[in-house]
Amino acid sequence: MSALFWKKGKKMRFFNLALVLTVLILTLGVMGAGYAAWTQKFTVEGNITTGQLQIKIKDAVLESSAGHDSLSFTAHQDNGVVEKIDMNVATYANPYQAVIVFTVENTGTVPAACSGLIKDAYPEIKMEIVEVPDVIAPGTTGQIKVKISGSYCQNLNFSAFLKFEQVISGK
Amino acid sequence: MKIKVSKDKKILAISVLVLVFIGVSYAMTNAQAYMESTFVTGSLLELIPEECRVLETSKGVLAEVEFQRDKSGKIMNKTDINLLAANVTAGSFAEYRLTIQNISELTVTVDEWRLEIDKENNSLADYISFSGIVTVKHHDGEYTDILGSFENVTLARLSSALTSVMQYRKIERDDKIVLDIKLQFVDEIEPFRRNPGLSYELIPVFIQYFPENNDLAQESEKP
Repeated sequence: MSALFWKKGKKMRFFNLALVLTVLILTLGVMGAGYAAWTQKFTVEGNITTGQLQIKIKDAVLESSAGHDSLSFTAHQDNGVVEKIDMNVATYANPYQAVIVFTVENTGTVPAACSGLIKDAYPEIKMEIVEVPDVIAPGTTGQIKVKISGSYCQNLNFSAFLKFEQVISGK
Repeated sequence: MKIKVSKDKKILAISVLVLVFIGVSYAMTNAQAYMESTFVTGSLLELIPEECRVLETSKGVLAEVEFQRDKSGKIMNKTDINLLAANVTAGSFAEYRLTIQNISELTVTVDEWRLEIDKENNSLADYISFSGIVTVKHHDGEYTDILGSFENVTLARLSSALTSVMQYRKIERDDKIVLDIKLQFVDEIEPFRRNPGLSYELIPVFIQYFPENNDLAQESEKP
């Protein structure tokens, strides 16, 4: 008889334990669900890219020259872009001068303007911009006239850079 | 007999452990599944696409608000939005409006705003500042509360500025949160050799609003 009760008690204990565990499991589940239900996230993503400043010299031609015995002018192009200009001047006059017209294309995405000219430090040669457009819009071309004047020199190789900047407007 | 009890105890202990593990894994799975269900993600708060737009930009800036859409063009998720600004230059700006509506039965509040910046694409982070104003529209715009504003805040401080404006503020059923946010670039940016850009994520976390003790006391005083 007592063995029967012991067995019954054992069954009851096991049943109680199972009940407690089931409640525990369900509680944990509901807690998880409850927490999830009351929390919500949004994502506000921001992506910013800049405009590009890119100018290509498409052409360079000698517009005029004076004060020399002979002058040859060659613009070397690579894939439609002027890479180098060879100008040979023979002169006994002092000074001589030439005006070169550069055709530049704005291949970037922002409006640009030529803001100056940088040249190697050779005092024998002077360069100045004489005509320049205020703005070169993206996808358009503009012409920049540069005057070169020089005194006596021989076998002089020099470099010059046209400087471009973004035009800020409509702020 | 003693040996039998010891064996039973061992079996019982192992069973308890196994059941606890099952319980915990069930809870975690349940929470995750609930979190991902359409019912939860789609029922508390949603962006209103018709009211999310670009307010103003400086000349040349290509700005847009973008939602994730499926092939047919239907918006897949009204909790994610992408604020795009392309072709920005020194001095340019873009202003956006985001509208989020509480479409649940619950009163919610903002727990915090989090900020995550893409480490691979952050070269513009120091050149940008944010200004904004946050308002809440009640009863379909009949009443409007200005929660707060901020001006010329850096990207690094943006999430804390938004948190301080919106934290603990009650957003009731059908209320609309309107966030006007303006990105402003500094007037001078050093030229970049490589592709400059910026990618970031702002994550507001909404939770259910629980009234503070003072609120409860005030409510109980009402006749």
